[in-house]
Amino acid sequence: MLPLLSITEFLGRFHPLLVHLPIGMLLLGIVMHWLSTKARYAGLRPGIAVTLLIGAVSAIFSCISGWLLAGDGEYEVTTLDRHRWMGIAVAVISVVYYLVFTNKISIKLPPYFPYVLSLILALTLSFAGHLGGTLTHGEGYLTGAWGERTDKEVRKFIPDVQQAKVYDDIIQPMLQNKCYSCHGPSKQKGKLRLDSRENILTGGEDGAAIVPGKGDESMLYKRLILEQTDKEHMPPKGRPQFTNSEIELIHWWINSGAAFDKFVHALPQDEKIQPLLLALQSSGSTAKPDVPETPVDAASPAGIAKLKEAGATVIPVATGSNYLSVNFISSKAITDKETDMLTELAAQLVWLKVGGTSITDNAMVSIAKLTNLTRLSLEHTDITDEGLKHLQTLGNLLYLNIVGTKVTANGLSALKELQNLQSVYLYQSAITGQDLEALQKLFPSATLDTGGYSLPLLEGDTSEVKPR
Amino acid sequence: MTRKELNNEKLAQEANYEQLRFVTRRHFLRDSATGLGAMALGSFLSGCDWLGSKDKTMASGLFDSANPMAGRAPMFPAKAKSVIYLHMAGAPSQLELFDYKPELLKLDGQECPQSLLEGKRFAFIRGVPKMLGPWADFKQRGDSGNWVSDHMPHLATVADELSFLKAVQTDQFNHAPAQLLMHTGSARLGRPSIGAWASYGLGTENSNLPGFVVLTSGGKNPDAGKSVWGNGFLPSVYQGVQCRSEGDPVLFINNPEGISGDLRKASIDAINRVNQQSFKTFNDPEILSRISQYEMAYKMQMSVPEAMDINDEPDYIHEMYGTKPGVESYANNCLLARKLVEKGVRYVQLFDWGWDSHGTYAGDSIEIAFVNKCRSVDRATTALLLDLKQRGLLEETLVIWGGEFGRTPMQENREGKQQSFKGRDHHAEAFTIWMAGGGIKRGASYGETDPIGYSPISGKVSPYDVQATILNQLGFDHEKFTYQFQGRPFRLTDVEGRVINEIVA
Repeated sequence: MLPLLSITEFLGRFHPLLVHLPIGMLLLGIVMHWLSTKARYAGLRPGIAVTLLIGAVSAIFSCISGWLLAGDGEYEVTTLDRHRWMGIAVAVISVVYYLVFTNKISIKLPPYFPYVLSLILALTLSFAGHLGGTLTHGEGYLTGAWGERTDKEVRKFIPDVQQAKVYDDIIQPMLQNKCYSCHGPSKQKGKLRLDSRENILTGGEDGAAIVPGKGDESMLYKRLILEQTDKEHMPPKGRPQFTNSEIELIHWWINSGAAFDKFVHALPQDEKIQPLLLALQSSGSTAKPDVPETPVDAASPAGIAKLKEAGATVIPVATGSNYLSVNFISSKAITDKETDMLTELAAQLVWLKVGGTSITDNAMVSIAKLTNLTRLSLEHTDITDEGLKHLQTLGNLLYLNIVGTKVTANGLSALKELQNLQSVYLYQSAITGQDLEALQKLFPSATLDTGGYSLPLLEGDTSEVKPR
Repeated sequence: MTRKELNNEKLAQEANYEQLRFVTRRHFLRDSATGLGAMALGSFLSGCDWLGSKDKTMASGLFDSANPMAGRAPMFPAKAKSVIYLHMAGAPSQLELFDYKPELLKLDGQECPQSLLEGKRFAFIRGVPKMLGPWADFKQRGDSGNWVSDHMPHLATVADELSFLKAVQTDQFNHAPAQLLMHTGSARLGRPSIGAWASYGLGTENSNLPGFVVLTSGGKNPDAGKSVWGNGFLPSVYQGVQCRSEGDPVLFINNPEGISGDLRKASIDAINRVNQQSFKTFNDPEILSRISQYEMAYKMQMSVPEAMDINDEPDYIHEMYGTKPGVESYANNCLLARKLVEKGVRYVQLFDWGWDSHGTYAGDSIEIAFVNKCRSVDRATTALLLDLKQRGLLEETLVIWGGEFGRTPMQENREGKQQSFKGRDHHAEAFTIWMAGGGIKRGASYGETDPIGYSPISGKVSPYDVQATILNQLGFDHEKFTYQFQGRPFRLTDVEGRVINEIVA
């Protein structure tokens, strides 16, 4: 339900509508005034006075409604003040302009005076209008179109949520994304700032934002869970809202004492909060994208055509991207000869699958030249340690699949410089579970999977429940 | 000229004459009138930019009629290269598997409060039913603490790989429309299925296999029939190809007796030449679809029997999945799904029938039939996940498991009578599905139902949201991925859908 408005508040809300009238009318009047100096447009002259009159009167009404609105809304004070006085200036100048233009002032003025006045009015009008826009849409709205967006969502990379700082990594980014624009360094609606420990504990007009240990009594939480239509609900309707799990996390954080420097693992976690926390954890693959962010020139069409002829599937990783993925799923007969052709696409090729083909260690020399590769599948081929060591050059590699090859722990160790590796698949290779511990030390951030999973035979796997 | 070529020539000429017979004076008059009109309109409109807008190229430009199955790039780099959708047709009970409700156990046998029944319609429940406590023991599993009941002991061991959606809500409470909604984005017939959209958008990586394969088990097709893997208004080459794990993988895939491979090839070539000619005349893209289907069928004669043969898998794999070659089973289909994905198939759709646990007799009861159904899929599903993982495929394959709706927290009372077996009615309000791999978070859980599992209290998602998420993982913005049909762009999620970013890694 909408809150009941007093009559002044009601009138105030007409301001955003009314202001457009003087802007249009006054600018029209000015343009007509200037045009009418040309003989061609002299016919406009009789209309100028009435246009300026409507503009001036509507400017006065805009000022009144604006004044009423300013008392009701919580706007940024300095901008508001400047907007207020600029608006009044527009009203005053436009009245003077009208009086001068219609010769209702008996003082003798130079003939160019109305024109000077019109320029001053146009400038004041633009500036007042811009300030008004800044008030409603926020700082940098106009320039945002070509400048860098400042409202980009902050998201911390959390490899292991238990090792994350509860405030710095979880709570603060949420507040920054959803609250700082009104309760931060640039604006303090309700005299509240939420951008540091002190500010949060001090609170604003209505007292402290949080009561450590008592989530249900904390203003920060209470305002979040009010109905969205409630006037007190935060963030205000229309602004990006907190998700349910974010609200739960804030509640949990306050209840657990609202620590600002503790790690997650130091806080009590019940079964309800655990999955929410785990959901914050970034999976390995988000650390580094598997397609480079910098654009690249298109690959030579001849090079692509040659590969396709050899049986390769060549597909861009995305529409409009020049980065390519290549696989030989349709034609397993390829050999080292065809892999030579890949080097022509070295700059563009990021994902390569040559699994199950007849390539040997010799092919690794060409593949080693594909330094932009992020994903490489070599499973079920005849490659050995000898070939694999060439791949040291592939510093961008995130994914390496050597399932079903003869590669040993020694062979993989030769790639220890490839610290971007996130997942390495070693099932049915010559690397076994015993090698894992040593290898994991060489690749601390990678998941090494030797596979060979088996499931125990349970009674239920082979029997059925019978009706009694 | 060889005899074969001569025959082809003759056939083509015959077809040509045949078509000329269709061209009458009436055609001439009609074509000249509309033809001139169209030319005039075309030259008039060519000055307008809006017709050549980007949308148009996106909408129908994907369809390259000469090579409809060519591999294509998605809109943005995809996290999932393939999808395996495990649909438990009939709708498994979330209350016995993943949505743990101890409160409901306390209410077991009590009458359902009126407030839950007012204004609600159920498929079979009439009057005032009694509440039915969960018939399962639950535990939290792994590091994630996700709840999985003892009915799925194997799956419980991989709970950390899964992401649960616990508050899925649909608006259909009968099997056929609910299945259609889940897979085509509409409860009525005529829309393309997710798999059809995927192969329309991506083509296939393997030119010898279809991009979209369907495997069924449980002795019955889904209620919604083959429309759940249909192509709708998309060119028919994108419909799902149903393969069988028993007998011939595709019906009539082998050449009939007395027809050699060469002869088959020659006849397909001849037919295709005739079809090319009718395409030139009628310009109907369906003719090109037919041509490429003939070619695909010929290639499939070689490649499908190989891809669909699980005999060449080693014993330890059979042991892991619990597969028995030569029979039709969910386990066999799981193993096949892995093989197909390995070979570059984009979308594998599994249907398993028998989850409709009404409790009208032992064969559809919670305490007997349902438990047996769980046993029949538990091992194979888990094996599929682990096998994909060890081959490095899970991170690029999105696996989805779920039904078309959920089941009521109340005991079913068909015709107002007390039933002698435990059973639950269809429940559209809230149910659980899970996803794994393919760029989905590991061990997450999103959404929550009330203490008796009746309706969502947070994190509610719809089938459209699930579809939007699947497309997102495949590299498509579900709001921009459209097909021009009947004068407007259509999309899988219609006007709905939100990518469930809460479970996207």
